Amino acid sequence: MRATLWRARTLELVGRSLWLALTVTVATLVIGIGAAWLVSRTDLPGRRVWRVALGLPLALPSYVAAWAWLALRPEMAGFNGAWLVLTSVSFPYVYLPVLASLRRSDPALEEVARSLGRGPLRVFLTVTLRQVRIAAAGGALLVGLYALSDFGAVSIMRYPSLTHVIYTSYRASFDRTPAAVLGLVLAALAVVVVLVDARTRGNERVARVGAGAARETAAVRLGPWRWPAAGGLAAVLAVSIGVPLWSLTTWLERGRSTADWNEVGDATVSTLSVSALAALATILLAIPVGILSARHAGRLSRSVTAAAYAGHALPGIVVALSLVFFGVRLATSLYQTTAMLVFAYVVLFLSLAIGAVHGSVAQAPPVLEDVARSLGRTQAGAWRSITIRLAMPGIGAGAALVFLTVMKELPATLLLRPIGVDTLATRLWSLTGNASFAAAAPYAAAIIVLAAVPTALLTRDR
Amino acid sequence: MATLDVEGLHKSFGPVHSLRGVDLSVPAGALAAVLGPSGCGKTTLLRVVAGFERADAGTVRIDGVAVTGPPERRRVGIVPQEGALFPHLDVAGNIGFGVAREQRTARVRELLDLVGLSGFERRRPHELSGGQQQRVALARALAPSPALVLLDEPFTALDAGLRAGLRAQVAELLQATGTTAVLVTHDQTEALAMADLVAVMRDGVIVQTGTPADIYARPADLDTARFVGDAVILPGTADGTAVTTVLGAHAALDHRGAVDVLLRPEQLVRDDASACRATVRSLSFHGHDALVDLDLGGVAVTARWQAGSLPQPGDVVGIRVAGDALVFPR
Repeated sequence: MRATLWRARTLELVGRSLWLALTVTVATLVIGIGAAWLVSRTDLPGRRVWRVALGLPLALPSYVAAWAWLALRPEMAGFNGAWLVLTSVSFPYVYLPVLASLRRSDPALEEVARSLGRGPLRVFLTVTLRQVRIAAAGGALLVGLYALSDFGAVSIMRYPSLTHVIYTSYRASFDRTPAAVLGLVLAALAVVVVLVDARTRGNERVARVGAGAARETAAVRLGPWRWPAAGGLAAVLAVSIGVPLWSLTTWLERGRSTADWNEVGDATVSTLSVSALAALATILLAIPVGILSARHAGRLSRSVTAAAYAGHALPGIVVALSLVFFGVRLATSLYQTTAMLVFAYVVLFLSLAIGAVHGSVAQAPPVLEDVARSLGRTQAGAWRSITIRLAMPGIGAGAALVFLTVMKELPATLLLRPIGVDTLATRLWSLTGNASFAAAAPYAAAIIVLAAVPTALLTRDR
Repeated sequence: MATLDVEGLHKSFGPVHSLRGVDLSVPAGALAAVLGPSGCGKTTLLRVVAGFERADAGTVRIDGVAVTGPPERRRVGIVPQEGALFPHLDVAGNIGFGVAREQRTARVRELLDLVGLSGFERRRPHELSGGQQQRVALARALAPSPALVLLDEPFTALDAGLRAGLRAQVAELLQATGTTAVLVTHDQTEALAMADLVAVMRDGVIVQTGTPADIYARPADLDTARFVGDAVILPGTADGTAVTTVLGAHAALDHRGAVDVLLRPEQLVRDDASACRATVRSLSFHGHDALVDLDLGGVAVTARWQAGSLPQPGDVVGIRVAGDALVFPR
C-alpha cells in the first residue's frame, strides 16, 4: 500500500489531475464571469437569448461532449481534448451564479463609481468583480470538484488522470489495493479543494445597503466592441454545444441503418427506471432531512446535512469503488443489485435534493405549522398537510435535478450496475471504447433528448 | 366556556430568562389582554399556554385541569399576527381545517356567517383584504369550538382606520360565542378598548391585573402608569395628610417625605381664575382635543384640552387639578 502511495507515478497522477482541475477552473472563471457581465451589464445585442443559451451546456454530459469531439477529431485525445471538453460543459457552473448575483446586485453602485470619475474597465475591476466574488468562488469550487472527479471525459480523451487510472487499475488486476489507495488520494484532494475554498472565502459582506428595487440597466456601451463580443459568445456556444451537436447528427446519420434500435430502447428503459427509482429514493430521504435542517438548526441537523454534502464532494468513482469493496467483502447479497446502485446515487446526490427541499421549506412560514397543530394536527400531520404541500414545487425541482444528474452519471453506474443491465451512459461508454462512433451515436442522442426534459422543467420561469 | 389559570410559569432560552413566575387567571368567557412592551415575554407566555413551548416550571390549567399535552390535544385556538392563513387552501378549506369532515360544510357556513363573509368560501387568502384575512383567521380558530382562543397582536399589521372597527367586531364575536380569549398586545389603546381584564407584563412577570379603568386610574407603579397612557409626574413633599407640588396641595394620606405625584393630562383643567399660572409652550393638535405643553415656573407638564378654545403658544393661562392625585413613594 505504501509502495503505491509513494511511487513517482502516483505523484505524477496527482499533478496531472490538479493541473487539469486548475486550468479548467481558470478558464471557466474567465468565460463565466465575462459572459455574465456581457449579458447583464452591457448593451450586447440579443442579451435575453444569450442569457438562456449560455446555461444550456449544463445539459450535455461531459462524456457525450468528449465522444462527439473525438469522433470528429481523433487527434484531440489527451490533455487538450479533456481541457476543452471540461471547460466547455462546466463554465455554466460559474456563469449562472455570477449572473444571478449581478442581477441581484444594484447597478447604482457602478453608476456611482462612474460618476466619481472611474472608467468602465476600472469600474468592472474594482466594483463589479468585488460584488460577484462569492458567487464566482462558489462556482469555481463546483468546477474544481467537477474537473477533479470527472471520469467520462478524461477516459474517452485517454488523459491518464487519477479517475481514469483508478478505473483501469481496478479493471486490470485482481489486486484492488492500488485502486483503493489512489481512490483515497483522490478523495483527499477533493477535501483539500473544499477546505481551500472555505478558507479563502472568508466572511466578506456584499450585502446591499438600504432598500430599493434593483433596476436592469445597460450601464456599459460596448460601441464598436458589440459585434466582437457577440462573436466571442457565439464561439463559446459553438464549441460547447454546436460542434458536439453537429458531430452527433453526422454520426447519427451514418449509424442509423446499422443501429440496433431494440438495444437503444432497452437501455433507455433501464436508464429511465433506474433514474426514477434513484430520484424517488433520494427525495424521500431528503424531505425529512430538509425539513429538519430548515426548522431545527441544531447539531444533529447540521451534521446530517454536512454528511450529505460530503457525499456530493466525493468523486463518483471513489464512492462507487468503496461500495464495490463493501459489497464484495461484507454484503455479497447486495453487490451488483439495483438496490446498491440506487444507494450509491443517493450518497452522491442527496445533497442536491436536500438543498432544494431546504430552500422551499424555509420559505413556508413555521407559524402555519403552529396553527395546524392548534387545530388538532400532530407535528407529522402538520408537515404533511401544510409544509410539504407548500414546499412541493421545490421538492419537485429537487427530484427533477436528481433524475437529470443520475441519468448523466457514468462511473458509479459503470462499476455498480447489475450484470446484464445497460444504461444509455454505459452503452455509449463501451462503444466509444471500441471506437464504434457510429454505433454510439443513437445512445448519445437519446441521453441528450432525455436530459432536455428535466432541464427545461428546471430552467422554466428563471 | 372555560377558565384559564396560569401559575408560577418560568421559561428560559439559554441565558435569557423570558418568564419569571407568571400568574394569570382569566374567568370563563372573558377577554383578557396581556399588555407589555416587546421583549417582555408575552409571546412566550402565549406559546407556553398553546403548547408550542414547554415551561421550565409552573402550571397551566384550563377549566381547572392541568394541561401538559402537545398543542393538538389542548383545544386552544390561535390567531397569529397577520392571520397566517394557509396559502394553498381557500377560505372554506382554512376554516374547515380543524373540523371533522362530516361537520365541515355546515360549520364553515355557520362561521362565515358569524364573521360576515358569507359567499367567500372559494376565495383564496391573497384575494382578501387584511381585515378579511384576520376575520377568516378568527373563524378558523373558532371552528373546532376551542376552550380558549389566543390572539397574538392580530391587528398590528392593519392600518389605523381598519383597526378600530375590527377590534370592536372581534371583541363582539368572542363575547357572542362565549369564548374565553387572551389577547397579547403592546398597544395600550387596543388593550384598554377591547379587554374585560388587562394584565400588564414587564420583564417576564405580570406586574398588575385589573379592569381597564382600574389599570388606567390606579396603576401599580410609575412605569405602568406611563405605559398605559400619557402621564404627568411631578415631584412633591408629603406630610402625612397632604402633598405639595408646583400645582398646589393634593390630599395624600399615609405618605411622608419626598414622593412622586401622578396626574393624567385630562386632570389639568384650564381655569383662568386659578392662582396657578402657566405659560403655553406648544400644542399638538389631535382633532377632538389637543395636548398642551405648559411651563409651570420651570417645570414642564402636559394637559389635554378640548378643541374649541385652545390657547396660543406664549399665552399665560390658569390651571387647576380635577380629581385625585396618585402618590408613589420615592
